Amino acid sequence: MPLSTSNSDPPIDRAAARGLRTWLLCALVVFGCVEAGSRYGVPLINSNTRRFYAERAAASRLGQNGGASQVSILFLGNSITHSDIDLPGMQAGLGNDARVVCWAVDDTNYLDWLFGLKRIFRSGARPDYVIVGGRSRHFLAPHVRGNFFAHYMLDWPDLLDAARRIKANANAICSMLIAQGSAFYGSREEIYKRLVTWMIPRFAHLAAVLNRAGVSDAASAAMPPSPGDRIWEMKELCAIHGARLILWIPPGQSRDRNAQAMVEAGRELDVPVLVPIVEGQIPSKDYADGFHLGPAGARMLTSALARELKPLIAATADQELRGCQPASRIADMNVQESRK
Amino acid sequence: MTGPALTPQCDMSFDAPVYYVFLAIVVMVYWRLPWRAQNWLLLVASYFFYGWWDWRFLFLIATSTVMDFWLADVIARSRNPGQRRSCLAVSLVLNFGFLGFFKYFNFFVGSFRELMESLGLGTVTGPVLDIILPAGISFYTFQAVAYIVDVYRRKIEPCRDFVSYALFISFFPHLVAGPIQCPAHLLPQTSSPRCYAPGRVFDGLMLIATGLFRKCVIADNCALLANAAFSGQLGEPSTATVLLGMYAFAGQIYGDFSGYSDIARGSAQLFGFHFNINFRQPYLATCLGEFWRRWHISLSTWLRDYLYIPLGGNRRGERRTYLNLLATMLLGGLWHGANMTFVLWGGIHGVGLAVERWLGIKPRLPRCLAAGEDSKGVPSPAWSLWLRRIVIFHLVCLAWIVFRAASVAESLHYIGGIARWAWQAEYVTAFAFLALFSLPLLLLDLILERRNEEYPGEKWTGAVRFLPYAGRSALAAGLLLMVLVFGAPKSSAFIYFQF
Repeated sequence: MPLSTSNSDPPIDRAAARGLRTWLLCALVVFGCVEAGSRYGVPLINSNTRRFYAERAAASRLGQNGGASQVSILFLGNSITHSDIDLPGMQAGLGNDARVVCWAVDDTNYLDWLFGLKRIFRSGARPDYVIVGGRSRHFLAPHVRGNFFAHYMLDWPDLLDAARRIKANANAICSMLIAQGSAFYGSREEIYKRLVTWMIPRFAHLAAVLNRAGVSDAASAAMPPSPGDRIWEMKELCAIHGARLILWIPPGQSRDRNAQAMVEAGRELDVPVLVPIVEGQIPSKDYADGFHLGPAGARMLTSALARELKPLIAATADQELRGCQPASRIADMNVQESRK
Repeated sequence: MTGPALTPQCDMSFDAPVYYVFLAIVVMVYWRLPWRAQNWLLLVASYFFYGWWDWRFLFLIATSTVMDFWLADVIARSRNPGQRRSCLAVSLVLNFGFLGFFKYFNFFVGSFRELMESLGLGTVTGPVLDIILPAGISFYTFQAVAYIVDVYRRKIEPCRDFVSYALFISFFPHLVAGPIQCPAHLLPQTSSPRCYAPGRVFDGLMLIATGLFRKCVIADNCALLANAAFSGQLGEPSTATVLLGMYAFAGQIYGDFSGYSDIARGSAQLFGFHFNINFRQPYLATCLGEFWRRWHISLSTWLRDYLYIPLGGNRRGERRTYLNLLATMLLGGLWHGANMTFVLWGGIHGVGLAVERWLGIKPRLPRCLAAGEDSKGVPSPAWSLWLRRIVIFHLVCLAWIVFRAASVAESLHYIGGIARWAWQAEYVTAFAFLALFSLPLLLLDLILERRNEEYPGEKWTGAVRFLPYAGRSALAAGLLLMVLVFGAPKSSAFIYFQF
């Protein structure tokens, strides 16, 4: 660091100057290590992160091999999608004409999914169907999953748009910017939970108690009056990239008050909103925790959802048999045209 | 009875990454400039920092700065005592008027209304304003008042350079939550060139690392438990939840404010400024008098110099001394916020200090602290020292419950819960979590107390001069690593930002 000012300044303490450089070097090493550890170490020790990367990669590749005869289907959602859909069962239920890929990210909501979709579309994903699952509060939530979202789901060009949508202040925008570039910043919460749980094995139970207020706050936060705008927005995004949007609402032990409003909004916008199983149809013993289904419940739901999806997907297959180009191919051709 | 809304939550707080980007840029430019330009840079940076919260606050601080600069000049030049007194009065009315209006208007209107109603004099309607509390107004008001009073008392010369004075008021490391700087200490530093000393910059970085550790690792994690305990997420108030909430809040508020103060002092040192220490291991105090010589030292010094002593201090007889003590602590409590809980908290400490004085318990001198000696310089047995520490710590913690609660009724309900026994399996985990994140603070304090240091390793020495620096750098790396991986994911706002 260069000196300021006057000739009367005392001579520089060389040991201290070297110490200062050492301090800065040590800080840099720490930052470098945690960043490298987060990028390469966390996926090795954390199965959730491994699953996230694998699912995102599979989702990004979906529909890219233009000549494939299979209908490509992306299931998108949060932990409910992960727990409630038995993926092999769904694949079996839809048959060999369909290729099913799931991208389920814990603790995410509509805005996470919207910007996540934008990111994978931009990287070339061209599914024929995007099937998004969540309860109405997930579709109406005004927030995103913090820095994790900024690093793992958001793409650079969408940063300002996302900041506007979540009404981020200058600090939050700066944090999103940092999280965009830093895997550590994006996954800090996961690392923290993992380390504290390692030291206090029952920490997860305590964390659930500590987070109770957060859930109720989020649930009571101001929500948009109608789900229609959001369904329309996601439908348009999918349509531009040649995909058809289908929504489904999972069962729960409590009533989803806005589910009917979502079904009606979907009907108006020509977006199927499926409710494969209504509240009370699955016995409470088949829920893992009141929100997520256990394996038996998941099998029941998967089979019901597959039954409802099959005719919708068969319609696309018929369209192809009649010689129409699937929408995704048309979208690709449009993109190529515009590039020329 | 509530005060004004808190400032908008777009703060450039000391634990936000954006602050360090800002700090690094300002430091790098700063040391390339001659000192007058340095002052201009710091002034612009400070106003930018403050405007980041809310640009409307800038008008308030600028008005207050210009008026006080001018009035102090008139006071210093005037030989007419009446004119000097008038100027002082105008300045005090202006400064406390701003503070009173923004911080206490609704509180006093609400208190008056409740008083009238409780006396059966009918319902009184009064205006309730939708006011935003400007960040740091309590701190810079006290600093401005200290300046004008010192000029009036001819303890210091008025500052002749407006930029130096404006920087004294608004220098960003102390602007929002102190430490309140004594004019005789900071003004000479803003009014003369600073020289670059790598050793001091190094100390500044160490203070920042320690402060971040205190804030992000200790305070933010304790805050998770304290918030859960006080909001009832851990269950109705019972022995376990009250103890959890009380200890967690004690860790939170100390880690939070001492961490903030360390970062503020460290940031100032990067620019060649020195701020006085604000916390000196307060939970190791053996009496309340000693606690106040260790806790928020800049505020207690201000209260002593500009309130307790002008009220007469201990010079007007015993009874008046007790009254002065109580009045000082009540006003000190009210300074924290427009709520009866703060007044009660101040009252508890005021009564405690008066009782100690009545019992003849004297605070220990700083030189006795590290040696474990009593106030007469006689070595105390360890058991006696620790017994007194534990008693005072719990008294302080009990007062923290009042401080933390939303209302006096809530605090009484909460304290009452201590007699109710209830147990859940989660409490074991909660106590383990509390121990994990509060015991390091105790350990840190014991080391600092024993070695009489301001940050761990400050006084390390070695045969080779560079070695202590290398060792401390390694220590800082460890602290930063802790901050990064154990910093609570949900950062809570600095508590003293709301004051």
